[in-house]
Amino acid sequence: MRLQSLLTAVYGWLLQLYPRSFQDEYGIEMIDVFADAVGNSAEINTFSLLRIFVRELRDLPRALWREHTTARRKEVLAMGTIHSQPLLLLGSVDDPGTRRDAWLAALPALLIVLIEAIPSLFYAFEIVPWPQNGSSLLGLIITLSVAALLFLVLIYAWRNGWPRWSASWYLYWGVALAVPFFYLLSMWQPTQTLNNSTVVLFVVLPWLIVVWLFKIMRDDPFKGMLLALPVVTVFWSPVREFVDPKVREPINLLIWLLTAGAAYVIVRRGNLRLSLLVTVGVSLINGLLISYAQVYRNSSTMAYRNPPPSFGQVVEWFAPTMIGTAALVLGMLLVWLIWQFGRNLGRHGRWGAALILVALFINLGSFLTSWWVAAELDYVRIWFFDIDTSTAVLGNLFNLSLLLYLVGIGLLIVGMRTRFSAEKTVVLSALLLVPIALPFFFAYPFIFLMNWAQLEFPAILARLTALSANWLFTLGAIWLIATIVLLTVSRHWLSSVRAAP
Amino acid sequence: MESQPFAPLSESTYLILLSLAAGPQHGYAIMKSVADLSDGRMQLSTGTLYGAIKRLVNDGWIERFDEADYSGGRDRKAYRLTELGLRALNAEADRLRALLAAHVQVMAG
Repeated sequence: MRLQSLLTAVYGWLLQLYPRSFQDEYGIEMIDVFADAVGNSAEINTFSLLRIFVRELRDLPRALWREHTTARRKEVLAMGTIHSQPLLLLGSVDDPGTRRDAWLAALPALLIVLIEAIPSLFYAFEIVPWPQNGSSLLGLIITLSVAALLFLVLIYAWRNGWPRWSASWYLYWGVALAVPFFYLLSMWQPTQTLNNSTVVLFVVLPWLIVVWLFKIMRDDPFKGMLLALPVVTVFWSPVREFVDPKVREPINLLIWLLTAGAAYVIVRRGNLRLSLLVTVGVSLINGLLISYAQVYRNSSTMAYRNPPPSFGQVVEWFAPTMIGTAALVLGMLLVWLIWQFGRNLGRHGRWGAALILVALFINLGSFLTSWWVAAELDYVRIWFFDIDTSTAVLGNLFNLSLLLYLVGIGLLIVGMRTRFSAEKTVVLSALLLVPIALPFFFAYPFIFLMNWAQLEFPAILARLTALSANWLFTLGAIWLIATIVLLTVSRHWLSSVRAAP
Repeated sequence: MESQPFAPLSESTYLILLSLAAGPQHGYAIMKSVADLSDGRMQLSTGTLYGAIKRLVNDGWIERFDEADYSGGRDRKAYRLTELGLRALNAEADRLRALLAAHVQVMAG
């Protein structure tokens, strides 16, 4: 009897592996049938009881594969309208999330506010003294509590079929997984030198992150934005090092509060256009705050007592940060839209969209991988923003992606010519240039502002060094915002593409 | 009978439909019927059974209803064959019969 109950309980647990919709529909019935089956077998002997359980285990992988594949196919079919009219996506309104869901989405950022930002602010303004020797017991309690919370939320999200709010936690679960991994790696290879294994890690991992982010953005843009929000902040946060704590800590607090607020709005409202504007808005404000810290850092001495930077100085650093973060936030979504758009434009359109897609991956991936590339070439670089593109490898990757963008857009325009009026073709061509603009503005300060224009870079673009950096940055920001507004406001007009034969 | 192009059925699908042709049944009864009809050769796991049931319900070949006279204390779902399911079952039987006839003819020489 005990074995029978145990097997039924284990079977109930295994059912959790099925897609949520399948569980809801058939879960209770399946447990009833299994309980009947083992009950009748137990009357014969223990062996037949075990045989039934083994049969379930044997068939489980195939059944899981089939049900998950079917569930995925249904989702794709549901996206059919969006695939045929991709620009309609930008005007889409989904079911608003509940307050609880919205708070769950904001909680990861709020946790950082509670655990790190507020205590640091208290220390910075000497409301409480700096801890000389941190309490290891308190540290242990906080660490274990956070780990337990992460685990509980993970289980809760899993049981509920990975709802939208769960995307806010992806990064934190990733970090929780990475910590023991890097700990083991450091034990295995304690020195800082690069060997093949770490090279693989630093080259492959960023590319995987890019692909992962793209996939999530494609499947559910709301989830993509929830994930991109902390990625952007974490990506740029090291620039706050060596900044006066009285400047740094309020910035830190504000950044995470804004991130939490944006996550709340994205889930609560379920409005893609609003979410996009909130995400970009928060990225802009966070970019401005981080740029302020960046200027401080660049002009700091160890005494941490520099005059506050001027607005002009901040703007200089604002644009690359902002454009870079916006590329991460928006690039994935825009390129996916262009991919769907190109698919409706016949053979030329498909090839054009594919080339743009590849170009974006090369661009993002090469910038993310450049830490390793620079280190390999003996450049002393600390972090992503310290990378210059004057190395031959990066310069050529950048050129390659630019070339692919241009060819891709040329092909898209050829495809559009047969399906749109001339004026629509012009407007759409201008919009399609955005993916070029994002990485270009991102790379600009590294190439021109620091006078590192290299031979590999096209001469015609090198002449842009004569332009004022601030003007270009401003242009980039306006371009970006105008694109979002145009895409969202004129979505119906732009969606009137004739279906490809 | 109206001819309708039904794809050949898998053995498990055929046996599930055949077991329901005798009358409505709940999940465990279907499982046992399938085993009986195949002389114990086909023992379905619950995962395979309900995967097939789900597809058959979606295709409209069988339908699900609450079994009223279940004595276990709460409603239990049961399944019955629809008209479309019956046609699919008969079409498969016709196909198998034709195959068998061809087999007999060839072997008889």
